[in-house]
Amino acid sequence: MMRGARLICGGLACVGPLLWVTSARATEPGDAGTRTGNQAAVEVLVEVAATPSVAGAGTDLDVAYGVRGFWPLGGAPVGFWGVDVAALAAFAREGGERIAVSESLLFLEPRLLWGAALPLGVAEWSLYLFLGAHLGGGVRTYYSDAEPQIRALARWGGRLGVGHGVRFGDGWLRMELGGGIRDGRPEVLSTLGLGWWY
Amino acid sequence: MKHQLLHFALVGFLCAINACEMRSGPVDVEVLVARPQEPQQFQLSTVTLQTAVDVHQGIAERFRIRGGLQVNAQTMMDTLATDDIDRSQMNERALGEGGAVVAPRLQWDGARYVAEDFDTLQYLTLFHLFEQVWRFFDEVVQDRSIATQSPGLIGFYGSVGLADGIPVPVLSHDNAVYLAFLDGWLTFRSADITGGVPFAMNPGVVAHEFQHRVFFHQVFGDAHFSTWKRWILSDGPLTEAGVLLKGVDEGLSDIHAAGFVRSLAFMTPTLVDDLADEALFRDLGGEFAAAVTWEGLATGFGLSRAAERHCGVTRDAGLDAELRYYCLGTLVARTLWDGAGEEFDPLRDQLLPPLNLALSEFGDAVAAESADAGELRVPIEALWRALLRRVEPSIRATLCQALDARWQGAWAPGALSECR
Repeated sequence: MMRGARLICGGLACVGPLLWVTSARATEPGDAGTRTGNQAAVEVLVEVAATPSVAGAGTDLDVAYGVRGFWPLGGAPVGFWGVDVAALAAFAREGGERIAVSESLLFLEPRLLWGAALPLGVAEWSLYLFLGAHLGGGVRTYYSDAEPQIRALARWGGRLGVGHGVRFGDGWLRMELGGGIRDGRPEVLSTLGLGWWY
Repeated sequence: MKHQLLHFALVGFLCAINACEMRSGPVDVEVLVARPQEPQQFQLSTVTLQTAVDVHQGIAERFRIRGGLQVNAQTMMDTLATDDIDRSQMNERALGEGGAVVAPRLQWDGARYVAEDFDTLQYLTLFHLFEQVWRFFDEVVQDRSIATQSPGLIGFYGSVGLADGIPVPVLSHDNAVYLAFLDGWLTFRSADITGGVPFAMNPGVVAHEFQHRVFFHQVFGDAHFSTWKRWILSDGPLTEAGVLLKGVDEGLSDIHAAGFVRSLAFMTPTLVDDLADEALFRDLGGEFAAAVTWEGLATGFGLSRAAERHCGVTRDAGLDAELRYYCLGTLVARTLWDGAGEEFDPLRDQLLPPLNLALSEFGDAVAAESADAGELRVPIEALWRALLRRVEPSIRATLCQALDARWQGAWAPGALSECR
């Protein structure tokens, strides 16, 4: 877990200067590629989050699926600003057929993005940092020989990370790596999104 | 009043972010328990952890629960073979880095901790079961060996690996074991838990494994560690004496588990699906246990076809013998159940305590005969004689009847002078 956190910090340290360089070249005010204007993007995404195992060694993986809308806010002094909001759903069940615990979750993840875009002929590559929160809830169900017990649960947290995306025409593919806090515990996450601009 | 409100507000805030200090016992938690009067049925219930020192880190007054502990079997065998180490040094080597601090996902709901996931539910249940089982062995069995009187170590979601530097665990399916190398227990994580109650959540399994520690310390321990070491290091398939010793060990574990749970079929909730066949010969009240005899295990006589498949010619040594000592264990356990008059109260109060005392005498006999023979010898009659000398006359009479009925041919006629 600690090794993962150090990798991310190292990654961010590298990304900062790179972002500045690409911003200086490609996203001067009035020349923000195809990102500025009134366009927005919608994407479907899969998110894999790793949290420390209960056993204290290794990690547990949680997978969530969802949709995300992205709205560029225009040029920043360096690069561009944007916001996006994702609605994600997750279901997980651990245990066996008889004794088990399951979770069904829905949560929203609003984020602020700052990055730069670099036109590459027919494509455009962008690199950005994101900072966001996630809030949601659902139910946790405990299965035993008695009637299943269903209880409400809340999900909260915050995330920080780096992502990059490639746009081909109206198509859009992006990947992210980040870390944060979920329900008071650290997590590392990776996201893959596939979308389109309109 | 103002200070109290501030105090409650502060505690409420700390608990809301999982930082409140309700870590040490007594702490109320929700765990999986067998229903009262229905030991085959399991449900969630709130219990009190009486001895918790830090429930967030798996620390109790008498044991510690550590995560991800890996014991490397071949490394330990090599260490035993090459180094002249004593028992505590062996345990230290097996411990290695000692695993990791457990990180349960607990939620304080204002009155108790509840598990936020299955792993934590298993952890809390295990914590509760070890408290209960420890008390049973201390107060009911009255064990005074190191097993009960010294702190214990439980590796939660541990694994048994082949050797240092080979990270792939060779044993990590759903199960729970006692490892003498470590002088501790391991529970295993499984992505393929059967339709049954997981091993580490079954109170009978925990009691069974606890008795293995008692058996090791009472029979071998420090006094006869060299006997144990010679046996463990001996090459080749399990000998008849090895099968017998492991059978006695398993049988005593089963009868203690049955006594703790007050159920003869304590394994049945766990042994389902692929493991269902094993339930046929582990159920002490079942058809196999009712029919099993020493002769039957040697010839297959009187055993059902399913039981014969697993238990036929149990006493023949060979590769398959590894799996068959459980059948012999059922013979040992069922004999003791007969001796208790098929009642749990006499079993718990009048039979298990003297049985515990008899074990060290049995260990002396095993060590003496093994030393003379130069290899493991298991004079099973020494166990029965040590027990018969210590039980009440009423128990002695029923036990002698059971031994006469089930153990014909196991020793020379008249060897059990206590039954005359």
